[in-house]
Amino acid sequence: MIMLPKSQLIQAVSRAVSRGTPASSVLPDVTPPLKVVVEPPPKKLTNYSLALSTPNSAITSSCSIAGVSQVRWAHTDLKVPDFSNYRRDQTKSSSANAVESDGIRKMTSYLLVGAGAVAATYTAKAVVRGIVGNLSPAADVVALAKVEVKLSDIPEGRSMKMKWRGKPLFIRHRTDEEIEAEAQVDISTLRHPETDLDRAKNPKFLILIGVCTHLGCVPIADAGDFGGYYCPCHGSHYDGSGRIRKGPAPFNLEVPPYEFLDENVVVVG
Amino acid sequence: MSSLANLSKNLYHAVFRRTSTFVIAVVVLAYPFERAFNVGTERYFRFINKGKFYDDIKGQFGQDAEEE
Repeated sequence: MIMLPKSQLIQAVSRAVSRGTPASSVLPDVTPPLKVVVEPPPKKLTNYSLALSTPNSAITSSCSIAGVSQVRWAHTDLKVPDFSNYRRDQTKSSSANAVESDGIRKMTSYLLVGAGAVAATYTAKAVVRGIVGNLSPAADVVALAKVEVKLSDIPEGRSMKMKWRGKPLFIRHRTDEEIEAEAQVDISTLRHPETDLDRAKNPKFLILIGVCTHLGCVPIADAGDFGGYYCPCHGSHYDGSGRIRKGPAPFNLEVPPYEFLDENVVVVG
Repeated sequence: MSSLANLSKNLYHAVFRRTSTFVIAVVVLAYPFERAFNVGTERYFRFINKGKFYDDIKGQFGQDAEEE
């Protein structure tokens, strides 16, 4: 609606207009400033009209040509809460000198993060070890494992120790004197009577499980009073065939099941 | 103490400022931490369960005298 000053309206109405083109009626040459007045929006007086103004979903602002344009709502009724319980003491006051407390603030932050990172690294190491350890042979596979030994690697008079099914395995390449000495032992004097030939299929090689029959320690080879093994835990003496001679052990050292595949190779288990 | 302030300043500039140096420091410190943590927790476990381990009651069996 364009408003003109009243005077001009009255003039326009009261003047006689000659019959002619509308262009012949001319208004005085004053161009008034155009005042554009927008009608105020209707007052929201009902629940329905109020509800139309309230946001009913997550507030976003979007503007598109063919789609919906939404306006972000600024909630001026919300108060920013007081965070002073979470703030650092050194910087709470607005007049505090931040440079002075810079060192302490930095160190607390970084040292806490560093300590947490070290603990996390330790945890990660343990987790990775567990996962990678999953690739190793399962317990039941290890429990029934066989081991193949090349006997030519063992020089005469020396013994070889290896791990078999979680237990120590002793293989000794015996000299002729040792074999002779063992063959001549009177088995009736032994606590656990067994001849040397019972225990070693091929007397040249003595294959034993190195676990003391008393309480399970590992005996030491070439030690003890009988030219064989000696268990340091409780002082059991075994001879050159692994038979118990002195000390608390009740039985001779155990002989595992084994086979000679040929002259040089034995499969234990 | 100004020497403490100096130390923290140098520590920051040498280690904490760059992520790469921070990570190196963390990984290097993880090894002694692992050892110390394992030893510490083991000792604590033995302390809590004192009297239940074989080591604690070994003396009661009189076998040690036989050991040469």
